[in-house]
Amino acid sequence: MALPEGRRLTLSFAGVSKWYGDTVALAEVSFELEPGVTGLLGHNGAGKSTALALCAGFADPSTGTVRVLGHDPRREPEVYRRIGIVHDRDGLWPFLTARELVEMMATLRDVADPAAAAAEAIASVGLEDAAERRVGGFSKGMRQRVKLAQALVHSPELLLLDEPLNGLDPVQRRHVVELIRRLGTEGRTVLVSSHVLHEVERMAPRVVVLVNGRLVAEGETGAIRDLIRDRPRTLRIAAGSSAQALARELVGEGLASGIRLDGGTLVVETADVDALGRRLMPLARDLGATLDKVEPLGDDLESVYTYLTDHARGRGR
Amino acid sequence: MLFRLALRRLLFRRRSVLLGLAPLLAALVALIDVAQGTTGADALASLMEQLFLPLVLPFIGLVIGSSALGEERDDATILYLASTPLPRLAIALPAIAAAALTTAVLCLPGLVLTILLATGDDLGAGNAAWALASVLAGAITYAAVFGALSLRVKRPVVIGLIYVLFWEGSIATFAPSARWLSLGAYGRAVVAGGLPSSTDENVPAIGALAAVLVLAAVAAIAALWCGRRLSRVELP
Repeated sequence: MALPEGRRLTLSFAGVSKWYGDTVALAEVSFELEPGVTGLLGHNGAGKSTALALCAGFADPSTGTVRVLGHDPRREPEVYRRIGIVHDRDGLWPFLTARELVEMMATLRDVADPAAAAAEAIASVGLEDAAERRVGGFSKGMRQRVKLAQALVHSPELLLLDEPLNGLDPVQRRHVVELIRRLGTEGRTVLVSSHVLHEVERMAPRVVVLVNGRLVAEGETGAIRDLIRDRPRTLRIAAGSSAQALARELVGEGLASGIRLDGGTLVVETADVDALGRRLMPLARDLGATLDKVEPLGDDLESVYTYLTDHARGRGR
Repeated sequence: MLFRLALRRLLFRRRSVLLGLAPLLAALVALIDVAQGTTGADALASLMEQLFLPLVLPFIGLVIGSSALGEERDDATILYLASTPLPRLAIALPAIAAAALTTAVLCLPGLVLTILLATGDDLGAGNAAWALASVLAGAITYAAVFGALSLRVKRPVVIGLIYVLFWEGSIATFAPSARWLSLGAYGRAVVAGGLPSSTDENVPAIGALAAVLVLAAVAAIAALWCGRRLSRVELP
């Protein structure tokens, strides 16, 4: 594949679909990765783990091509010397200590000094104090860090991390986020999946968004965030007997693009939720209205991703 | 390294103690025989051919063999091994070898007791060697075959148990047409060929050494299939 000068392609997904029986897990997904951290964002069941499994060579695409560092890991396992993987399953050999496990993975990946590499990887995830303890007695967060250490132990060029922050406490999360950012700045390619946008935003300057197996957005994380933030929103406002007057004011000030009155409750559609938020209380005060409840509707992740899907369709994707 | 890993996973666990009790069943029967004054090479051959080889060994081989690779796939630890540059056969072989050794080790105390009790004054190196050889060959074969089964079906123990109880432990012990298609029958052929006192007629008439070679060939084919399957199957 010809690339512009200076571009170093490390992973490519070209027209990849994957289905299991009648279930479509991924549909015609194409994206390319270069060094740096990229977030793979999507709700549960969006196809993130399937995409990562295909990148890791654990499954074959039904159609399309996956190339990892120029190779097909399914048929060329030598490439695993250059890939580190944290998968979402929790299984570890419970009778091994953290050091034994990480050192074994270093040996299996032909690292020159497995003991030193294991010690360094364990230190990088802050697990030195528990290195000689069996992983069978570890908490979810500690197991997650062992998984990360084994993925880092051979200093891979490409890291595939499936929900690596799951089970971590806030301090550990901060540490791992910082570690992932550092890996990106070191020139490694990191693909990290999550269903939480603000989490991805902290570590990945670029994001790929999957919804129901389709790629619906791709680009700078900030731009995707703005797109999500600026999307039209719907609020339910319980204003009692002042509901009608409040509705008139909201329309009059151009804060609502649509309003439905349901007894003392307003369902307001707005294109600028920030402006509405700023003016709502002053307007209510001027009208002498009491607002019993103000709540967003359709603000769950599913709705956000559905909006991105519609937005992508609008662009003719 | 992978052999040691698999051995720790298969052998050093509570389940092994329970499985190790199964071969003592044969020793218990041998003890009853002793009490009734029935000892000798023919008593050993009878116990091996009617209890140890058709039931005890395949049962232990099933539990251990199906854990060798199937358990790694089910708990997803196989993903760590699969994300290394090792050829898939190099992942499968140590697990099968460890399963074979574990099966043999779990059988050994009960087998030795059975040999000692059953043969009584008739204990000879030949008697013991052929009994041990039949168990060792069977352990290797069952480890590979049930390892392969665990990569093919979701409930290998259920299917394997049906095979052990209805085929190896029942039909293959009396139906002449089944003798060529039973792994246990080849194990019994080792005993029948090695112990002149054997009266088991429902075994392939190929001699002890040829029976060992057949079992080794089946084990090799199953092990190769495991390696091939691991490189093609989609991992969880």
